[in-house]
Amino acid sequence: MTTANGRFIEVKGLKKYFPVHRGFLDSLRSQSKYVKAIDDIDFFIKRGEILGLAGESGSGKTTTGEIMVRLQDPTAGDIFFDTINVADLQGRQLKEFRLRAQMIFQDPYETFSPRLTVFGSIVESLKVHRIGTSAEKVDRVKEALTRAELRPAENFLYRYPHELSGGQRQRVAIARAMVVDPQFIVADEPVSMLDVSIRAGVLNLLKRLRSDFGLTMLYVSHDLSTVTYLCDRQATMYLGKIVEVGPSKVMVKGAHHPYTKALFSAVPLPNPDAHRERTPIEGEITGNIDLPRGCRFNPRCPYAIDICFQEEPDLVESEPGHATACHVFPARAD
Amino acid sequence: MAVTTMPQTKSKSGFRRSLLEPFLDFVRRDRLALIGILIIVSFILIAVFAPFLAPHDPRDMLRREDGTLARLDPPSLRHPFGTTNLGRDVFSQVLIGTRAALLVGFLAAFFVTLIGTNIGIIAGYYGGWVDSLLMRLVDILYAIPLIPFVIIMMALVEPSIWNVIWGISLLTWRTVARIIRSQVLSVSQRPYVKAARMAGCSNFRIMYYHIAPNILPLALLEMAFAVGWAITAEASVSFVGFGDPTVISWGQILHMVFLTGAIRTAWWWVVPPGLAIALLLIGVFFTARSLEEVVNPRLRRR
Repeated sequence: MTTANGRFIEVKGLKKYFPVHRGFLDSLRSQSKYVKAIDDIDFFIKRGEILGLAGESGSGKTTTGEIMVRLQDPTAGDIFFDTINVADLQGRQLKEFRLRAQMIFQDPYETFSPRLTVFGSIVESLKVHRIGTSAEKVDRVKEALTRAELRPAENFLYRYPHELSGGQRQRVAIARAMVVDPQFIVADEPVSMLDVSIRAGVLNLLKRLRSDFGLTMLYVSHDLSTVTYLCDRQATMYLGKIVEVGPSKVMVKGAHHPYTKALFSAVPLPNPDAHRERTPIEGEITGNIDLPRGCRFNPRCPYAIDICFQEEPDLVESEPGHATACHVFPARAD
Repeated sequence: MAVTTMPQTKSKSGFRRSLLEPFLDFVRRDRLALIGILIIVSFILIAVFAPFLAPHDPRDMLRREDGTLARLDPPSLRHPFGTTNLGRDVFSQVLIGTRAALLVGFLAAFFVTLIGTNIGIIAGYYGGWVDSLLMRLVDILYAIPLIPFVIIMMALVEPSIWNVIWGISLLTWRTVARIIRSQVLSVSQRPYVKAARMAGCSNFRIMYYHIAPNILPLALLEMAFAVGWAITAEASVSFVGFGDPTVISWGQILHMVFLTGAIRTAWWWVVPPGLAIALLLIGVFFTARSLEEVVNPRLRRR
């Protein structure tokens, strides 16, 4: 199965359900309930493209990212990576897949074992995959650090994570992902725990890695300003569904889905006098065990009409490459 | 090549910084910890040099200058702790008895920690039915009292000091396993464990290279407490007469006092081994307590 029209990664019908354990007696009654963390999503990423995945906590975006690199197993669905379906790789094939797909984690403070040096953390993939001699391993680790703009690399090799700043750690995390020359990287909120002043540096580094090495990336974040800055296309997730997907440039100007609009209106503007239309949404993301009937956003949607409480909307393209799952927006011709 | 060996030497120094150094710092400030360590070190020195320190062979039946057997002589210059009903030198026996206490204490604690840590890591890391199975086993072991268990084991197999060590080890790992498991449950959710999985590490490598070093301080702490339990258990088992008859231990000495009925009259035969047990345990627990405060800094505020 080769993916056509430049689609490097294609996800089809991806689902991830977590069983809810409520107690011993309930498990006997076999009325198992599920948290539908990801509820049947499709998307694709082109080669060398950065796709942003935005949404609140609980929307399923991190789970999606972790399934893409097979840190978690999907409940159902296919993930075509180039030509192979990686959704149910096991054992040696899964280990080989780790050389092609890597991940950068959110928390730069917890992402390194406090007992390993920078070298020890980065060289781990090379050791496990038995790549190179000892000297070659050192060279590759240095090269990875250099790529992550930690120069001179020698100064960082034998330091412990607690001796580094948050920004430096996140760069080491990037070096760790880059050391195996992956084709695809999932970056899970890589800058959300960094000072604003150093965010841009890390985001620019990710951009540069994409252009220098042709990396394909999935960028997961709740912060639409960084998503729009970094990504070519972006998708908004809400309660395990993709509710809107489109080119970043188009979406920043005119998002259709009320939820995406609300996320955009939460982004601070640099001009304090600027006024803009705010989309007010109330409350927090609802639990995804007992989903509302119809559109799952209806309890919080200020525009909900009758049909929103009856039928679940499908993703419908309003213009090429821009699709929205909403009954109200964009205003339909019919 | 010199460069590639550096991480190892560095990680050792990292270990020193993260555990031993705060511990030593703490000892400098905490008098009780210092006392505890001094006590343990003294006992270790006594155990090592016991044959040279002991004025008599602990099994020799000694005679007075007039040629009669030195039965139940009270303390004197010749016999600092007096003699037993068979004219044996109590001082020499107590010195030699240090060896049994330390051997059982440290070896049993080592095995307890080894078994408990491994079971705890496996249960906490794999979770699911593996965890349930191992933890139910721990529950069952918790229902068995330690000293009767060792006594019955001694009665079933031959009483030897090794069987005392095994008896203690086979039961006491339950506590270590449970504590290590709970720590592993938390550690294995940390992103660095996910990162290790992304690197392609096997479960074995994740458990023993990425998780184990991070629970090592807790394992060492549990080991210190296990030394205390093991010494108590050995003394108790020997006191009731199920210990190794060929090995002189403090419990064994107390057993003989009790058996001969001299426990009411010959205080010099009772007090020294009893004090030795209490003193060593105090040393162990003072040390373990300060180690606990290093491992768990929240305790320091109390």
